[in-house]
Amino acid sequence: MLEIQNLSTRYGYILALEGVDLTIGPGELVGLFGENGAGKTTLMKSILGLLHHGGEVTLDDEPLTRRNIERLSFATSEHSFFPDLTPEEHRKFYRDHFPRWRDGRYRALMDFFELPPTRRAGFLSTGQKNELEVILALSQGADYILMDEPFSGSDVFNRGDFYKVLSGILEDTETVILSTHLIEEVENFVSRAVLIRKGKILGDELISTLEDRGEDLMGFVTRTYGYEPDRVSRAIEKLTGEEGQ
Amino acid sequence: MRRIDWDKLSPVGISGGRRAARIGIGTLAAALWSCGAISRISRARRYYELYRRPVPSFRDVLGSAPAGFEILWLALAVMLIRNYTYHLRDSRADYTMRRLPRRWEYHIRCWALPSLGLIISALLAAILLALYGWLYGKII
Repeated sequence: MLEIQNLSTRYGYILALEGVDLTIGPGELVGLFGENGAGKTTLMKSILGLLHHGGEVTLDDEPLTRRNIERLSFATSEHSFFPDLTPEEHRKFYRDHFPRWRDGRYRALMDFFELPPTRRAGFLSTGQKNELEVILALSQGADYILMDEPFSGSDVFNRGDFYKVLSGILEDTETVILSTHLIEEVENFVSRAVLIRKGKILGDELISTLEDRGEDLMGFVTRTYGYEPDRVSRAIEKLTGEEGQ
Repeated sequence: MRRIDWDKLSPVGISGGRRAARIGIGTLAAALWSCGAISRISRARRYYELYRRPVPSFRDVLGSAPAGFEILWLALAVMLIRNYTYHLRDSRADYTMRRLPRRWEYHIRCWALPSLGLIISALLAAILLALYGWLYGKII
């Protein structure tokens, strides 16, 4: 169980996260949604200890330290691989450093996405870089896989394949926390939706609960965010009205 | 005797052996450059004997002898900074390094070779300085 209690993160004077409480259990597929600058990336980096923060992050009641950090993996749109290393060299590095590295999964995913194992990561296409990033995160042997906009820049086929593969290979104990703007694409993949806005958790619902209410994920997001569907038409009306005067 | 795996002492993807060799060559070049002090000491002695010129101080005799080491130390400082910035080039590989179960691996890989280079070259510089001091005292 990953427990986040009263998490607060600052960038200088700006409070990027404020008193975030979140509990994520094994096997959950959590979608983390929010506008740009809402705090999704900051939350993930704070969980991983990549940013200084207040509050507490525990994993099965133990604080996150070097002893249990390997239970968390991270795939980011910024990419965290080594551009000068080939995928094969990454495999060796990860295998040497993460005791629960899953070689079989790595090879299967490399084959599936037809990634060239001996080409330097820096020379891969954007889609291939994203794939390598996610393959490494999935193969690390982590219980909690954090993905921050992992498919940014990938085409729709690429992304579609990934969700299918993810759904197929994840074990019951593996948890995914996925931050994305592509709400409709992940609707059938996530089991829980967490909404974040201005550094605070705005909504947290199971997809099954939404379904019971007859609401879809996009509906939940727009309602919770207070999005006004007619705001675009009103803006256009105002703009064209001003031009006419 | 176990061979040193230099690659484990440099950032992932950078050849540690090549880096170590460059530091070795730099140290050797700095030491050779400093040997100019020997000829300046003997010249000072000769000028004193032939023309009764005043003997310059040890500092003056050394002149630019330490320059090679100073350049080397500057290069090692640059190497240290570049070892860290390397992890920010075209990706955020520092995120991976900072997530490793081996707590100090990231910093060891950044600091090891520059520190080793600094220690060895500083020791050599100290030995050479003592040698030149001894020669200065003995000849002049």
